[in-house]
Amino acid sequence: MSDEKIDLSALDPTHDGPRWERLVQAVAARGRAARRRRLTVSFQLVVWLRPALAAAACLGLLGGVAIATSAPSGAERATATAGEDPAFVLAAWAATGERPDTAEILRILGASHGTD
Amino acid sequence: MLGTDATATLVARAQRGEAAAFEALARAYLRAAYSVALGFVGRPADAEDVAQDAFVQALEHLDSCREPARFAAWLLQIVRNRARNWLASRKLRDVPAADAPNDAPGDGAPPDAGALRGELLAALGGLGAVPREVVLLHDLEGWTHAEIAAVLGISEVMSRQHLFVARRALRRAIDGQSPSGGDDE
Repeated sequence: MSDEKIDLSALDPTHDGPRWERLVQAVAARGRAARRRRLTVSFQLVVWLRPALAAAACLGLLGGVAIATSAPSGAERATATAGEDPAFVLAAWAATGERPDTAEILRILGASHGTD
Repeated sequence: MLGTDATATLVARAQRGEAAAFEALARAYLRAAYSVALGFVGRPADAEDVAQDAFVQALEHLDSCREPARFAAWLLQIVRNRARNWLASRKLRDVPAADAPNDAPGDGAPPDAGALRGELLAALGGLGAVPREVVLLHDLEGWTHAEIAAVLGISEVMSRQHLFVARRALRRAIDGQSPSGGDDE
């Protein structure tokens, strides 16, 4: 009859009760230690990673702010460049018939030397 | 087998780091882990190693157990994976299971337990994975069909069917006839 239970007690590892009990306790202890170790490593990573990430974010933010406030805007840059370019200024004087004084000419040429 | 509520409570306590919960889980489920491992590796000493390692792995990664009430199913899947890996490495080492030097029965076992155990293990080896697990969990662990069905993800009817097939095959094998039931893995 296949409905009758098969006696598998020969395969029962708990025959040797004290040995099995030691095994159970060893597995529980190993599991607990492994879990504690794993959590400790994860915890340490989080502890170290969080300030590092925060510092990196602050640095990035400060850098962005510094760049944004110190760099001239595109329009300012174009005006300044056009204003100080000797060729541009001379061409403008010629086109408008303006007669700059010597100091002005020297300033423009001097600025040209200074920037180049 | 513990009820699902009791199991879920134990898992939650173990997740909080309570030492007693780890031990209670091991006491409740290590034998089932051993049975499943034995069905795969076919050698008691190796089954013990596989079950222990799988159990430690499960306890270590307890947070990955998304459904604490289904801890047993989750654990036994880890055991199966471990056992498969172990079998693959044994294949590489090419060590036949029958050559095991350390499979003598324990001190508490009857004198002729070694021979009987060998017969049973050989017969179990002829079964498919599912019938083998069903018969071990039912006839060795004492689990009900409902519990087995929940853990293996099959219906209770199928669990009964697998048990019937496995018992018939085991009886034939033990009686010296060729086993059947290994084709429904």
